[in-house]
Amino acid sequence: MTDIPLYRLRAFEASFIEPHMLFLEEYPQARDDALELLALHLMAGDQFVRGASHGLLRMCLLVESEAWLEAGRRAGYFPYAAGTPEIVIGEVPLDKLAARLGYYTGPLQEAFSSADPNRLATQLALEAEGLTPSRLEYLRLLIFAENDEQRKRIEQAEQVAALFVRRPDITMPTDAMDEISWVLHGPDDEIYEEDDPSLMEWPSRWRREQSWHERQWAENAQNLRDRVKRCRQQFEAAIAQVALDERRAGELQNRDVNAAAETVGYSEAAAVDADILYWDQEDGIGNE
Amino acid sequence: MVFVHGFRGKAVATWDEFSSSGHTDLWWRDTDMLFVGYDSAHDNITAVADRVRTNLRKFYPKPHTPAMNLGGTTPRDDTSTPYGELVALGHSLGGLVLRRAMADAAQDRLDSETAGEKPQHQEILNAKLRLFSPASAGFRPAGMLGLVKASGLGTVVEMYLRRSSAYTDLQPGSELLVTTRNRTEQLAPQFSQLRARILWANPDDVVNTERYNTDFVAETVDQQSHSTVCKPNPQYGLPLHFGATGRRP
Repeated sequence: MTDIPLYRLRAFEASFIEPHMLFLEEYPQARDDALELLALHLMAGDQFVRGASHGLLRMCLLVESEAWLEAGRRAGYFPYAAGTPEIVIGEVPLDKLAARLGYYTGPLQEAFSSADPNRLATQLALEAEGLTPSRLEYLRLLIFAENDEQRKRIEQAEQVAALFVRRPDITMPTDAMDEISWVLHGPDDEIYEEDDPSLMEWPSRWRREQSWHERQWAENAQNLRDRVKRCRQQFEAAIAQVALDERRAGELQNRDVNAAAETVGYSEAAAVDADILYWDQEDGIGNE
Repeated sequence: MVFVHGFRGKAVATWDEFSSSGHTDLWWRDTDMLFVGYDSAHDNITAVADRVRTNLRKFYPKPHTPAMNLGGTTPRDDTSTPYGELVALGHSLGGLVLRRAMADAAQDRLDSETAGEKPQHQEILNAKLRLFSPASAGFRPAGMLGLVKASGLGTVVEMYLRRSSAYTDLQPGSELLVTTRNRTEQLAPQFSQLRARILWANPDDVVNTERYNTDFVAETVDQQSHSTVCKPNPQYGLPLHFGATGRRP
């Protein structure tokens, strides 16, 4: 059956809803820890239920997906008639959790009546691929993780950055790079081409750094954000030094090649003279 | 149309408004687009080329069945008629990936014919090859800093610290660059599809702007950078025209 809006809806469900539902099913502890935290209304400071951060992130992304659905319906991009099955987490409908998750996301169900379907289509494609593992980890650590974990993870990255500055020729093993990938690839300026204010129109705005000043939890995240920024500045300085060293090495190589060419010319000429002299001496012809 | 991105690892975002081009032009509306994704900081260039070459048969010449039917719903009535044309667009490192894939397919055909066997994974040889600032001659001498500007700090730091294939193989004169060029130039007289049409950014401060001897004469566009040369927008429609025709208007 050909039905373009319904086809789009199914594609959206596959990209935006199913991965997070699958995660919560495969990691029930993360789901249950998050549900426990939400039930206990503990959302500030150090009073996190350990392990809740993974589940909370996924639940917030599911709340966001509901807002995208509504935006799509209003734009005529998705159908109104054929609905998406209600999202239930554990045994709790997502609707019931949305109010408490609003602590993290703020209000997302706003009027998107002016959303252009073309812009929506492009934005959905960009959003789907923008949620890389590094980006997810960055968001989880900044917004949902407890202080101990934040401290441990940023210290790892700071150690690598400091090592790189001291030893620009260093090579790092894969697992070490995986651990700090969130610092390298997670921040907004690694994901988005520019600081576009129109990005704030979309349901994903709750995870844009430019909206974080509106959120209560942002104060807790500021220290970590600052450390991430300083860490990245160290990486930037180190890579600039590498670039400079490579450029100098290239210039030096060119100079040596030129100098060597001149030297070879001189040696060859001297060797030719010596051979002639030797031959002459052997045969007793010529020089005496 | 197959799109292969470059250093920064975004299958769709690299190409900006190509994905919504169907709303501007009938030619694009009739085009199915396949955006190939890979991790440029981790994956070997030869492995990605191999993956493109060997998996293309799932998407060409017939449309990819799982994508054409989602939960019993299709995007159009006819989802089985084979495609009439195949175009391969590569940007930067993606250009090198495509070149390698095509050279390998051509070599495989010759080897199979010599051995009296049926060649496999030949679909890519039906492609018209169109490249945006390809990295086929490697980084420029000042390329590292240009690459940070074009691809972001994280990508470059990771490539360097891992000494990934994308970093080592793109040093000018590397084994990969030399062999890919040599093979292409040797095979192109027999396989004209290996000849690429190229659109260079001016200035391009990331890659060397050298084409192969067997390529068509390249085109250049001013006031576009290495990363923007392939991104159409309402003010810059050239990528769409070049993608569709391989030429400037």
